[in-house]
Amino acid sequence: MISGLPGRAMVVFLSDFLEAEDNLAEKLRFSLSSRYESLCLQVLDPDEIDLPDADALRFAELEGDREVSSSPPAIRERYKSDMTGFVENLDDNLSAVSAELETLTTNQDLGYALRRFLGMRNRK
Amino acid sequence: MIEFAQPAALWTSLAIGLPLLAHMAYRRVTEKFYFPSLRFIRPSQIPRMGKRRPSDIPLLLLRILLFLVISFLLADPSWKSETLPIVENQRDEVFLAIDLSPSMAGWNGLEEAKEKALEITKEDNSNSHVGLVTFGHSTLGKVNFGQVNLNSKIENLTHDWTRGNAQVCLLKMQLLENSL
Repeated sequence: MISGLPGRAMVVFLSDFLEAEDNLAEKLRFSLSSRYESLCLQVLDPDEIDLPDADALRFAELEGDREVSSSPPAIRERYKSDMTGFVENLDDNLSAVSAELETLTTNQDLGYALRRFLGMRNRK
Repeated sequence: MIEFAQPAALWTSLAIGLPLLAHMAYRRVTEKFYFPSLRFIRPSQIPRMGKRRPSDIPLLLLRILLFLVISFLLADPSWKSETLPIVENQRDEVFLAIDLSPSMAGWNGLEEAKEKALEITKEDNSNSHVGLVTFGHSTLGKVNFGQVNLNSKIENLTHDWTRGNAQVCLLKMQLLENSL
């Protein structure tokens, strides 16, 4: 990937980063170079953060056939704890290779959020 | 007024507890919800929606009603009119059924039966239809005797020497009753 980049570049990744977080830091190792910067924008649906408001749902995987019946109120606390731990772990892994992570939600204006984020970085 | 031929069947109406229990224990069928990743989604117990109050009240009422109707029909209801039939011009119907089988010969059984039959004919009023059915070797059935003829017929009854059939006697009586 680095071979296709110009001499100095900022790479912005947009994803939910819910899979392959173990390999991600390794892939972004190029960020350690002073010539490159990596910005990882994790875009999540608000329901992915708090779980939807419903007594019971049959969760169906978007990219697979798996289904899990569950009650969001019963698993919400544990889910949020797992999600927070996952994002913190991801942030740690990315920080280790000088990549930055910012979490956004789909109900936010992505362009505005990106501009705000970059503006804040420039002020630093 | 409604009367029930099988009133014990009304106990089956207690079965209305079944739809009630079913509704109370009802777990909602979960709707499908597409989610990006099930990685942190754990299966959990689906809460019983009817824990505090039965869900879907109209359906519950319909099911209870269905059970009640079934219980009602099982009890075999019939409508009995409160008004009594007009009996002014109606005559009584009396059937005397006398067993002439050989067993009546012992211990003066037939004589006692004849005495009882004659007592009944004495108490009888002129408006009555009187029928006499006897059964022994053969079955006799006859109605509309005159009082004297009837008494004479009863007094002259003698037992047979072969086994009688009470069932044939009852059928005969039914036929005579229908012929009145």
